[in-house]
Amino acid sequence: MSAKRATKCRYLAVLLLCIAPLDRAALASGDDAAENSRAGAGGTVIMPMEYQKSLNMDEPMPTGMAKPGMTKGDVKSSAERKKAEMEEMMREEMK
Amino acid sequence: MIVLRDDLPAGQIERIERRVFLKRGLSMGLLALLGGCEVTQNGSVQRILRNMSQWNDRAQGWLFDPNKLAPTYPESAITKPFPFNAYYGENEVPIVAPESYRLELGGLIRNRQPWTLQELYALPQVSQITRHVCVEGWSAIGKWSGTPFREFLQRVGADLSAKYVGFICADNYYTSIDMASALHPQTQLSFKYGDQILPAKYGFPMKLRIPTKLGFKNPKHIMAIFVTNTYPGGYWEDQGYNWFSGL
Amino acid sequence: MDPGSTLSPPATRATIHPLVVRLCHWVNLFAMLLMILSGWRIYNASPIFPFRFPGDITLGGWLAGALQWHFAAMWLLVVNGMAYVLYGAFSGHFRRSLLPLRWQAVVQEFVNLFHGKVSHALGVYNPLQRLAYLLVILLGVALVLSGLAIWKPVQFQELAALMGGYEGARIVHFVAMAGVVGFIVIHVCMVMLVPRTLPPMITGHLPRGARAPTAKGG
Repeated sequence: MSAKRATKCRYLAVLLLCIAPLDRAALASGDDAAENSRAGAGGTVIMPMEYQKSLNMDEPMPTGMAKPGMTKGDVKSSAERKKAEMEEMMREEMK
Repeated sequence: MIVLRDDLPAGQIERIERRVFLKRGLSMGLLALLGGCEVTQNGSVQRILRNMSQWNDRAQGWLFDPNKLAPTYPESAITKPFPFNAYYGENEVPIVAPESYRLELGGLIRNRQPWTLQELYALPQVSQITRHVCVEGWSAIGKWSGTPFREFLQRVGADLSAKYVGFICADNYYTSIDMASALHPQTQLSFKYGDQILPAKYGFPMKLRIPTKLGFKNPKHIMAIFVTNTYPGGYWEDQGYNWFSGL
Repeated sequence: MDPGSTLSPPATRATIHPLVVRLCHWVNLFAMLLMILSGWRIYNASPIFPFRFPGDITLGGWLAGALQWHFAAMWLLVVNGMAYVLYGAFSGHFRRSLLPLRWQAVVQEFVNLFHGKVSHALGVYNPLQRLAYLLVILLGVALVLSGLAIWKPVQFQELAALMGGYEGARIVHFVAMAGVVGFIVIHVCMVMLVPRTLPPMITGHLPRGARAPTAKGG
């Protein structure tokens, strides 16, 4: 995903955050309606790029796959590092 | 460690030394093996282990038969409830708004126009009831429906001779797979679990169901897909889990 | 080694354990230890029985570490194991040392065991030893085959099906491991009871002053 597109997405997300309805669309399955309308900070639906705010980054990961000491925030920092690496290399590739 | 006894013939001293050395050596070796011990944490040992994992990636690539289908099961075999697994709790699952969702495409793909959910749901769909195997050891049988990934890649003009397909998820999780496995007939962009639209906990709006790989290679809440010849790795893979992880 | 030899003066020290057997034995010990200790850590991630192995005695530190050790050591185990089995089959070593295995002799030796009169002539395996060594080879094969079924339940689905599928293969793998661990415990106890059996497994020959083995048992 290019940096430009990511920035575009971020702006779009913020824009939609302001105007999006609280209800999930009809596409959501009935028994998940309650779960899917869970509100984030400020009573809005959580958009993808805002996801990290809902996680407690310092908490240990509740999974048997984790190394002792890993926290939930590790995924975000790894993802950011990886994104920077890949964007550079893929830009070269696409020339 | 050396026993000095003048009255013993040389051969016997040799034997005693050897026996003590063996015993010491064995117990030292044993101690060294135990988790957390310095020998196993040693940099070159860790490097060897990582290299062996990469060698195993190659070996698994050779072993992979693109025509071998994963076993399928009847509806009665489906595991109920299907387990939830993520690096966070079930109450922290990302919520993706369907109307504003766009599947982003990147890398060696001719048509990188983003897809709306409407457009994705309009694609031809198939179902599978297959076994999900977790790297932790447990397994569960589930039913997924969606569009064959191979056909999707062809439709968007992905370079099928490229090596890797990478995925970025709404919860910041990321992983990648080899092209051969991406093109496997049962690899599927899934929109439904058990005949219902994927609930958030199972990966709404879209997950990659790949029954020829371990669970952590089946990314959920996919936001972007890219094709590349640059090794993209993955969160768990970069931490030390095997990248190919083929079943 | 001459099976029909009678008492002979130990002018040269007879070789009772061929070099290949000795090498394979010690390499196998190392590989098996790595496999078992890392395997216990992997088991702990999703136990199939209501218990876990104490973390301190496992290898790898965490699941990914244990898996790295397990999938590295497996190559050593299999290559070494195949070398041993091929050598044993084609050099006649199995035929000479582990066979024949007669059930009457095994039963008789069990009886002798309770009277504390098991034979432990250096270089000759008594019937119980033959049984144990043949069994542990079979257990090793079961471990490798069930391991392959767990590792690749799709690519090796026919093999996995023989064991009851993926979940069945996990049980076979565990039971075979338990058998091997049981063998190791008994084997080490026996060596500690008759310590003069240990040096020949390193040097290959009898200690100075010992007699060459006579008639084969069993």
